Amino acid sequence: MGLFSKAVDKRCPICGGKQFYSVPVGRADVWHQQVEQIPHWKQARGLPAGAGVAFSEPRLEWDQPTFERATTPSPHVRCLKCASLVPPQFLSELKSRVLLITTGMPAAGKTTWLKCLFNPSSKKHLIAEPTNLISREPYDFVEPYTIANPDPRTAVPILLHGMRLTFQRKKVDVAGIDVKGEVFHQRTTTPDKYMRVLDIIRNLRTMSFSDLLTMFVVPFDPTLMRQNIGQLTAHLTNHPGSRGTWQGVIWTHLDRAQLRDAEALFAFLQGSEDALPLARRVVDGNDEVFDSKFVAAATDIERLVQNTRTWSGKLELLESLTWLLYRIMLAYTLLPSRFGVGKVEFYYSFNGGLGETLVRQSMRLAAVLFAAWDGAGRGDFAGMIREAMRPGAEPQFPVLPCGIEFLPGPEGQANDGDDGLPVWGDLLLLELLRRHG
Amino acid sequence: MAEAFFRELRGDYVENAGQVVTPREYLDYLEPLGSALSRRPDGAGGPFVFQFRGSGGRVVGAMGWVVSAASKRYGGWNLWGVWTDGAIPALALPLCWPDLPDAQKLPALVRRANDDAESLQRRDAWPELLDRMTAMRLHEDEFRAALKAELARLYRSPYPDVRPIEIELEPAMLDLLPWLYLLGPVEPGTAQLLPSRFNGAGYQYIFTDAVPADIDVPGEIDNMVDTTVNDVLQGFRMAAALRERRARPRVSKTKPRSPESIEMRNTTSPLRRPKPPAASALPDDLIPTVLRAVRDVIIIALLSWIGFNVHQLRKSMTAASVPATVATVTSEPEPVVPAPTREERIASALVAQPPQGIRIEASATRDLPRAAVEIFLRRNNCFARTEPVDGRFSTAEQRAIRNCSALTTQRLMRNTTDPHPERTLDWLERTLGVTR
Repeated sequence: MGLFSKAVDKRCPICGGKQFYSVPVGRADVWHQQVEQIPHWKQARGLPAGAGVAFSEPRLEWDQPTFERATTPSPHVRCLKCASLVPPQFLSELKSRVLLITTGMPAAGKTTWLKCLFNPSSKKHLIAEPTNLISREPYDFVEPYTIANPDPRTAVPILLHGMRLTFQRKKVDVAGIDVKGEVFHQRTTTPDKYMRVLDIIRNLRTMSFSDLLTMFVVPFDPTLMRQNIGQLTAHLTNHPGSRGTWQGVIWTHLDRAQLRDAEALFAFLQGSEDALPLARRVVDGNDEVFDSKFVAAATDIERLVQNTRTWSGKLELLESLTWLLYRIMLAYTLLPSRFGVGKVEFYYSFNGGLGETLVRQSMRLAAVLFAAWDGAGRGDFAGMIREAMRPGAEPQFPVLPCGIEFLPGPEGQANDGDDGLPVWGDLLLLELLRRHG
Repeated sequence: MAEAFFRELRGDYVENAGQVVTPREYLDYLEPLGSALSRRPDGAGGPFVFQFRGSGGRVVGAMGWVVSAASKRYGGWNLWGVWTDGAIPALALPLCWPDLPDAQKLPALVRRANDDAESLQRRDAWPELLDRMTAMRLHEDEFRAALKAELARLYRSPYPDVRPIEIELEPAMLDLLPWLYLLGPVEPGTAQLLPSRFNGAGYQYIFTDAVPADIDVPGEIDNMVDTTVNDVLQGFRMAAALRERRARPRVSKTKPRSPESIEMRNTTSPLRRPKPPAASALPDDLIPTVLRAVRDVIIIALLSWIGFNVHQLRKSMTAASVPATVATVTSEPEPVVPAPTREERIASALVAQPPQGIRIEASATRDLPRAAVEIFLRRNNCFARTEPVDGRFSTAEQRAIRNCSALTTQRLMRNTTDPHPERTLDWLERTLGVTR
């Protein structure tokens, strides 16, 4: 018996099943025993029936939805066909439902980024920190794990997650699907899994959502030795203009960029009387990074980078420019407190949306720098970024830059995951709110 | 040239590629092995004896060492060892133990294991292999005491053939594992040994820094370990005898056979040898006859008991004197098996098949009505399932009792503190599927 009306498109993202059943919450150990009796759960993920499902906690003592039918009302549902736990965001109202696909190579930072984005209880350096204005309510379970404990190593190729984003009276349900990078790298080793993932992505694209966001997670790599997802999966990118899609790059590991040669950087910016002082201030460690000429300075850097035809022989300079970008991003996070306003207020309303102006300009700079790296490494993203940066084009931010290492705690205390930092990862959330505003 | 029995197995975390395993088609099966080591420092880990059913239903066995590779990536791991078609032979782990932790020694280990492959598969060659084993740290008093205590704990496990038995140990005490594997309650040929969670028989070891609690060591385990120090073969025989005694149904009153008579079983061995001559109290050909006779007596006694009870029931239900219609098989039923009471049946069902996802402590069976209410609360989402059922109402449970509308509807409580004795037992009986 289906629980939902057929008039609304409510389908399982894994198999397309349209019927669901409620399940209770039980011990993860029970889940672990039950999944052995339900081979179609693994088959739907391209796993052989005897494959194990990894857990990092040896006793499996946390709670998660089991496979048996609930005898009392339960908010957790499974697909009748493939037994997948479907986060409620996949089944919510069509108008406020957004699908977010993230994919990238192993160790690109997908899970870290998602964890910081969805579970930001004590995170620093975000544009939109948890406030009464913007709230994020993640669905607790990312089967076979939980949002608080997403295990990085698992044979499961696809994880479903969900989050409700609330801004004032607006509510957006973000239904997310995290595609494991190993799937693409090991496509000849585990072809069943690879083919199954492609099927799932194809299935997802036929589902109705108000927005489809495909995010490719690409780590900053000054050696250009690391294969990135764009070089492997051109077929994952959306067909431009085919529907209301939004595709972009999450550019991680920017904190690894170093200032290689300050003099070479100054020489490159010599032609701009606004950009050069900006670079000097950043290199000197001056707290006053932003001034009234920041927009002009950033525009000049963007132009100079775009006008440079080949970057292959100038990677050190490109790395210095990337370092400059990351310093600007860090400096931005100090501004709201200096003006005595909240981060969201600073972004949206303070001084006519000063934050938004600064961020927009920095994002343009990030996009051209990423395109330069991509071009130097013979990547596939340059076309997508060029298209996104045309006047009047969507999206506004084709590249979301962020660090991956967590910043040190106060007084130099040891850092940990709870002090998380994907700098400006929240732009994605702001973009969602803007579109649904 | 024939293919070697044991083949090399290696796994590593490769930057930008993720976890890799050679042979690579086994990646999906082996990936969970190292996950439990995620929070351990680089290089921390231990042995594994693992088996899985690969494509086409083929059973593949693997044995080796898995360690955390946290320096490469959080949650990454390395492993090395051997794999073979079929389960890993029972004596392979203790025999290879000295060289197993060293990845550099893997080629030599594979060579030596293949030299011994035939002996490992033949039961009659086991005495020779066991004689070759050195008692290693068993000569250390502290180590021996730890082994006895751990074995005593393992032998108390109620379901050694169904669920993995957890072994908590300090990393420095890893040498206990081959002995626990050899002498423990699970037949070594079928047992798995892993640091991660699995379903099936065997041992899951969990690293801890806590000092294990004192435990009473039964004389037979004490004796077995002390014997093993000087004679591994004899110790192994004693363990086999102990396992067999545990597995034997309790109603059987046959005299336990001496350790020498216990056949060394190897379920994985393709070569079956004739049984060695047994020095038991009864000749071998008489044992089946005696067992059949005992079984017949038990069946007759049960039928008599059932008939007698039905007769009593009918008598109590009909006021009028109705002639008994059920004929008893014998006029004097022998009370060989005492009839379990209703409470006993429910209690044993509760321990044997607890409701899914609910942990039952041994003390729960002392007060079944309270245990029933505790289970009811958990099954109806009125209380956290993770809390064990212990037959006592905690303050939080009392609060849940007051607030649980499903409990009120079912009228399982007489008042806010006392459960209804009849209704609770009825409900528990239905829930557990206990037949009267």
